[in-house]
Amino acid sequence: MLAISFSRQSYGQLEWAFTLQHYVHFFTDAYYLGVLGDTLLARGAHHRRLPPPRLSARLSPGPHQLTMEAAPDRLHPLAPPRGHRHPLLRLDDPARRPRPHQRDPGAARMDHQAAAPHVQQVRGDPRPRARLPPLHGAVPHRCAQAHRAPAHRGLPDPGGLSAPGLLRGDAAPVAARHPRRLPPRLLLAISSFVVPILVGGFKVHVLPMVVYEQVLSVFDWPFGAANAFVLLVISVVLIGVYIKVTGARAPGHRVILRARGRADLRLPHAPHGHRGARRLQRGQLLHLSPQGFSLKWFANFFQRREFMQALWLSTELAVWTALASTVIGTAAALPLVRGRFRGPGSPQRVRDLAPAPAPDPHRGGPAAVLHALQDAGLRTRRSSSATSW
Amino acid sequence: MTTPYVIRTVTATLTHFDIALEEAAQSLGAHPVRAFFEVTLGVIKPGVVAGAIFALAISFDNFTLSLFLTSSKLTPLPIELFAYLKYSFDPTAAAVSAFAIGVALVLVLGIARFMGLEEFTGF
Repeated sequence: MLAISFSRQSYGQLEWAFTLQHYVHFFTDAYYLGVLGDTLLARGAHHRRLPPPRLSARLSPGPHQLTMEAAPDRLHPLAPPRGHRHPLLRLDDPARRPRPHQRDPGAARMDHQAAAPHVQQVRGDPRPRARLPPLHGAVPHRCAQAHRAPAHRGLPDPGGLSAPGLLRGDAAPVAARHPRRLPPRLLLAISSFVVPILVGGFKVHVLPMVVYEQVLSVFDWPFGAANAFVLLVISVVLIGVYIKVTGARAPGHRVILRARGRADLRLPHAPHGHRGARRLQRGQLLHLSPQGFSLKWFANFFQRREFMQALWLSTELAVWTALASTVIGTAAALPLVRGRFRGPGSPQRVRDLAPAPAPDPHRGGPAAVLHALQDAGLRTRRSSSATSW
Repeated sequence: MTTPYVIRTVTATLTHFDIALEEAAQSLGAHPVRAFFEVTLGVIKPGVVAGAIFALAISFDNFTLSLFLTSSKLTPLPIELFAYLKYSFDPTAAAVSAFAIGVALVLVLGIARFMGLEEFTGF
């Protein structure tokens, strides 16, 4: 994108010449500046600060046993009501590492190092309830970040397959619950354009949609690339601010990062109910309420050649991407774990936040190879897709 | 975009790996590379496989990058689905999504069955 943004375009051909005219165009045009402002404002509004979860801490009859829970009304708005409080953390012995909670084995993954000093305030107190307020004031926000679904809800986000990006947009406010720090998911939401399209149609103009129009409709690649690069720079700057802010509060920053990772894996169930109902209906159009029962749409899917070809291509790309990521990720994890990677914790933060700003070279690589093979005639399979991107 | 997920899962398993095992293999004459592949990799295999599956799932449903890398000749499933939704409003798209969700669930449940979900998630 950076290279393209520094190029000229004429008659559909890119001339690789160094130029900044597209950036000048962007920053001197009131329309695009307004769109940029709307993008930041809309994302900021979407990730407004939510009230801190209403937590309670109670001591069980056993010695040094603490359970923290969150009231259901402060959990994710799309999460199905369960009628009981969600356990966040259970410490059988606050002086030691948290043990997995029986109903939610992952709950105890909360950063015990951050929680332990506060929990130790309760330890040995003959009237532990009297000491709960400081505990409640110090720990709950971290616990709120750490609260997440049990393992069976921690699957990779398959909902994104049907409404790309929508569920991740839904999941974003979960990570934004922390009232004291910059919501990490802000970075991802800024660059999303699928959600604005699906929610607001093309009437909602945000910067990612401008990139979409410039690249895929207007075919002004350099200007679209310049817009994308501006977006990327904003994301990187915000990441720097985030690392700076959280780095200044080192004891808890890992909790936020881990919670952010879990928010990535969060799978709100509510939208699936609608989708599950819609795929089984007999009507000819999509309706929000189910109309009858039919499996003909599955048959339609399997009979359409373009869908089958797209499915095969996606699988092929995903396999090559997974292989490349596995090799690179494993090679990168070794020095990170064995201490040969020196630094004040920045590599780990960058690693945790990397999905936000980084482009996708591993996926782009196989795609580029497939395109090259197609152009070279080494792949004869042609798609008959009616799409015209 | 998918590499951090691999790093995360592999790091989780590597943290609990006793490096003395690898050193023992080397002290018995194994080359470091062979010790890594036969000892270390065997122990951290659940994390590596888990990361690969995460990468597979995330890559499979990636939309944004696919949109910019696709062409009229090569159209991944998310783009095909999105294009279909732009001009058609029948529930075929929902059926496609249900199929994809089913594939992902089968994948993860298979991992849970044969490797254990605790190993898989690193919890």
